[in-house]
Amino acid sequence: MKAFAAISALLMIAAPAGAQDLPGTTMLKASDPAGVARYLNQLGYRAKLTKDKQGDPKIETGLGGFNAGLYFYGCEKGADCTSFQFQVGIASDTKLSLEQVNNFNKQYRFCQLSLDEERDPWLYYDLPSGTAGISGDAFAQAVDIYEEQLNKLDRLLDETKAAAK
Amino acid sequence: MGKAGLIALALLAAPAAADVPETALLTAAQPAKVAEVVRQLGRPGLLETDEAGDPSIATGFAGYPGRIWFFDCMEDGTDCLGIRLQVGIGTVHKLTLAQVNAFNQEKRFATLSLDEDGDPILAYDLSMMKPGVSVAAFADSFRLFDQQATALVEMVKAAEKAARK
Repeated sequence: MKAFAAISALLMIAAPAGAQDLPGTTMLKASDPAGVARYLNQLGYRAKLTKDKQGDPKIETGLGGFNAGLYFYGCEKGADCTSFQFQVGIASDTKLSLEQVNNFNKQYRFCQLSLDEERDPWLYYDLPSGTAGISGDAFAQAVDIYEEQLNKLDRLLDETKAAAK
Repeated sequence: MGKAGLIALALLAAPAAADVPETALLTAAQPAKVAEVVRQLGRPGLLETDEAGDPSIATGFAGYPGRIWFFDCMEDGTDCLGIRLQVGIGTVHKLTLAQVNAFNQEKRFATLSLDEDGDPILAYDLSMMKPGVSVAAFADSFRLFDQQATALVEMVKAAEKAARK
């Protein structure tokens, strides 16, 4: 298990007062994690810039009511990264079957669901950046899509738990 | 979706046209330009129309026929917002859901699932709303998807070889 997701309500931290909002056409680059963190703040999410075990940038945030990580990939010595990935793992007593996971992956676009060795579900969403980056609007849409799928996963866990009773 | 046979795909060379620059932005509303970039990457890029009247591009991944689907288009098939890279492999020996889950746990970007016939479908969804993603980022995604398609083909071949023993 790489991280545990809290099922508590998420505390949203607003963008710092007086900060000027970046337009949706702003290109967000994986090589500029601070800029990505700032944009997450601007969208109304907390965003703590830190490092993962490999020394690459990582943003700790909260999405869909879960603790989420935004990991950076393709980095060289922790810099010049070329892509990023949203990750949420949910430690749960309710275990999904592989059939349920396969159906989820067939039914929903964009994200990828899998089970770890403890059969806890992980939802991933990879975004390319390249050197030019992706637009703030496209990033915001990706955040919306990811939250929507997290909600669907949460509902699936609830339904599975209810059916097991 | 049509099944891909175990027939190697003849890859077409890029036409002798001026290359789309890597910093140019690419949106899903420009299927002809996407097809041009695909050909620029050395793959087939035949622009067609799917059953819903939306654009689609016949191409190839890892030596197998593949397709780029366009999503969230207007009724007349224009102004699409996203694409899906997809390849499917018709198999004799079926992969297990445990193998599919292990693949998804290990690999980034694309999502592997089994269709109703138990055949593997590899897909990656990319939002390409305006102002779009850079050609470089699209090319990175295309190459990463191709690498995963190659890994899938190796897994299928290994499973079929093991089943013959």
